Amino acid sequence: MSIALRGQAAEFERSGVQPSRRLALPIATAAGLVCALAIGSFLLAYADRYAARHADGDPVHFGLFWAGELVFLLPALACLLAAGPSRAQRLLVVTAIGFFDYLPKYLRDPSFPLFHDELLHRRELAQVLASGQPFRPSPLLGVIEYYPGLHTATAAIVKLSGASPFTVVSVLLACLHVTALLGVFLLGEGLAGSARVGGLTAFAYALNPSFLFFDVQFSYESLASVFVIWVLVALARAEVARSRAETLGWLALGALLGIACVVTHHLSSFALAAILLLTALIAQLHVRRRRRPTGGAGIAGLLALIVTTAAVAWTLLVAAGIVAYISPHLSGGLEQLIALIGREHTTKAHTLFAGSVIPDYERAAGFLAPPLVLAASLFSLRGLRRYRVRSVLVDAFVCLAALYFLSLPLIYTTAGNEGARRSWAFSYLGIAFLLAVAAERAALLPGGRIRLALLAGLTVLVATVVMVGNVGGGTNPYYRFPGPVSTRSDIRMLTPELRAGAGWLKETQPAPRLVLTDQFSSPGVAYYGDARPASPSAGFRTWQLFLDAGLPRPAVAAQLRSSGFTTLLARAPIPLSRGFYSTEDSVAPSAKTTAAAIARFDRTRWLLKLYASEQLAIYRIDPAALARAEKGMEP
Amino acid sequence: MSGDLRPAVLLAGSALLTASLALPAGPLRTLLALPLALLLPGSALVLLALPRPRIGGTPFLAASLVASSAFYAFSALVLYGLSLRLDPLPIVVCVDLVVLAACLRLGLPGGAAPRLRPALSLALLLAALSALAAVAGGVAAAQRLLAPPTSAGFSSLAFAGSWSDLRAVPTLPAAGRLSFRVRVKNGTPASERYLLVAKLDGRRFGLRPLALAAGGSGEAAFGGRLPQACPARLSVELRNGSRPAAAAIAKLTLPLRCAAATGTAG
Repeated sequence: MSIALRGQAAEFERSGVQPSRRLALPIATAAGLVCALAIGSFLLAYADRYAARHADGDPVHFGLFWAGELVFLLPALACLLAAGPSRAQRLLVVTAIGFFDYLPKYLRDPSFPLFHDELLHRRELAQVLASGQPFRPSPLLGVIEYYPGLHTATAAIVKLSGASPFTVVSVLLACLHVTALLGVFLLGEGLAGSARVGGLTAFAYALNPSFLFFDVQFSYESLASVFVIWVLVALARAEVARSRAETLGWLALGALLGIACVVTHHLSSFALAAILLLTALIAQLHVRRRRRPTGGAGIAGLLALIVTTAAVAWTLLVAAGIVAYISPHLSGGLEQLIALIGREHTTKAHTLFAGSVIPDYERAAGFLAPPLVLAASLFSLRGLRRYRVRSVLVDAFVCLAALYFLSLPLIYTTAGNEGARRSWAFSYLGIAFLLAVAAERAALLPGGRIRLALLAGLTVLVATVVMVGNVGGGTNPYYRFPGPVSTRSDIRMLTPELRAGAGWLKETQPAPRLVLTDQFSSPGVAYYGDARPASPSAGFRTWQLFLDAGLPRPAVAAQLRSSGFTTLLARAPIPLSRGFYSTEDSVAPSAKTTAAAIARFDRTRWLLKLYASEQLAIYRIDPAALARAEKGMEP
Repeated sequence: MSGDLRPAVLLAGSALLTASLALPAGPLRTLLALPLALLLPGSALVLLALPRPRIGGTPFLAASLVASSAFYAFSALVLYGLSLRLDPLPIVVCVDLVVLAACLRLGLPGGAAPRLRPALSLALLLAALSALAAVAGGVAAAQRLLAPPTSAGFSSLAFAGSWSDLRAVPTLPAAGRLSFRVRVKNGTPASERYLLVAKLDGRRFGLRPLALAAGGSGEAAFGGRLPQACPARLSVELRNGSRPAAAAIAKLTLPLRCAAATGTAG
């Protein structure tokens, strides 16, 4: 009999429930959960439709959203907290949570890609599909081409199945979302030796700020973070293997997934290497103190060596540019943090929820969530003692949880804010395990039924506050809900009008379609127009073309002639501010919009307006006419 | 049940996936090949490494999906190294090879008996299907109850034909003819009647009405003798056919140059 079956049998023995009731209870629970799932899905879809018709600050769609989330997730949590359900039932609940949590992002863009990163990765996928080769250059995010794992895997499935890329992407992302939670379940179960802790760990991981939206977009992290989780599963399973062959099997699988992670995403592979090195180090310390046999240390060390070597080799041989891409975020974040600590005046400080339209209760929960998580983590620490002997990963997970708290100050800096949030996909593994242990510890405290019910209620309350706070603080409302066109977010500017304009470019202009446009429109133009928008820089000041009143400055005009960027796409509502036309972090407000620039462009003799709609215009630059204008021969 | 059926199941899946390539792309091929493409190579890899994974059915499927993704990522690199395109045939050969390797590892049919629990599997399948039906039902009900917002949409206007990719200011023949075409798209949710007004230096050159269904597009041609010797600018305005006096919805504008010789531009 397998461990799982023995575990189920033991749980049934402990429950003391009669066989007939054993069957009846899960059926009633399952029927209740299915009903909750239906109501929750209905409310989420209703919230989405409601938001599309109302103002961003309308509290009703936020309320509907949370009602929809909680109506299923809270009974699911109660089910996972209970001692009765078997391992298979817990796995089924975790699977349902995974699919259910895929729904908000799916409803947001059920028929076309919408999120910023998603557009860039979908373009890369289209390039890989068309050329049959990885490493296709990406116009807006150069590093994408050096990490082809997600694009090639998806392209291979598209080619084999004959399904459309959109179908494959949707199915793959839904399955990966569930797979991530099932992996976390196995991790929690492996570390604690309890399916109950496994289920609770998976639930707590689903509370992480990026799980509901960011991790479900078609982006390399969405696959790489699943690889990270399953490498750790392989490590945890290798530790408790019953034979040398099984240990080697898990080790081989872990190494395979670890190397796949390296070719899929930079940050995830570095995070994985760091976690494995940390685990190996902790295991070595345990061996020195004679707390554990050397097996765990050896496995962790070997996996760490393989993944670290692969990550370093890939970085040096294939993706050397990645250091220059990541380092400004790290160094900038730390510098700004030091400035903030020193109370120096800085314009780079990031104010939480500044200008946000989220309701007050989400704001309050956003501030309450970290202290609550800290309190629960501290409460779990005493309960961890008995798990430490099982796996070297337990101490590594405590360190990961500590990393989450250490990263929190970085969200107050503009450069470190994004990096800190992205690290939570990994550090929350530690948090999830500690929260699960805390919940289990609370459930095992001695006391009567009333006290147990109060503790269960407290657990549910904490989970609710953490969930609301993490989602409210982690994803801006423009990404969460549809709504009116707004220049406050790039996602709201990805209008049907822009898609049609970009589609016209693709249909009528020959490749490579080099386009000058604003930063909000660039990803949409790149994907829907199969175009290459310019990347403004100090060396190519394309913003001057839009912002300057007269002719382009000589340097810009010369660059236009030599670079081949001869198509200009202008959108009337975009503010005429440098932040919208360059890659600067801050966006200065401007009373003038690009409509003024369009009126000016219409009067020149070096721009040919070939396409126009209400809010959008596409021009072709005639270099010869521009040269004549520069010489004063024409206006 | 005696005998390990897993090699036979893997081989059957591999044969089915390979055979499905002969089908035309469509729902049947997707239903047949997509689950196999997602799970088969990963299952083979997991079983190759761990003939007895001991993690349970659902986690085994999850591990298979993750391993499949890794397998395709590596296969693409191998094919790239061999200068082969990422096409169905080379990919399916890679899948067949890993399935074959897994079957050899597991041993030919007749090995150790697997633990199949049809009743439990059926119950889980039913539960999963009920859950999916619940989600689909909930979403469909909400969408029926609240219709999508009727956005105002947009109308667009573009030069068509050779002028859609115009690279330089067009040169007009002196006292010649001018002809060009424009394309209009009705991106609004309702049928629209449009009026197209072409002007040379602000003076009317042509007028064309155009009726388009919601989402439809159509073209209009303009042509005629140049009314003045050397016009400097052509503009084409898209107006609402019901309210032609209102401001233009969209406007194309093109500087023009004149040549000495006579002829036709456009």
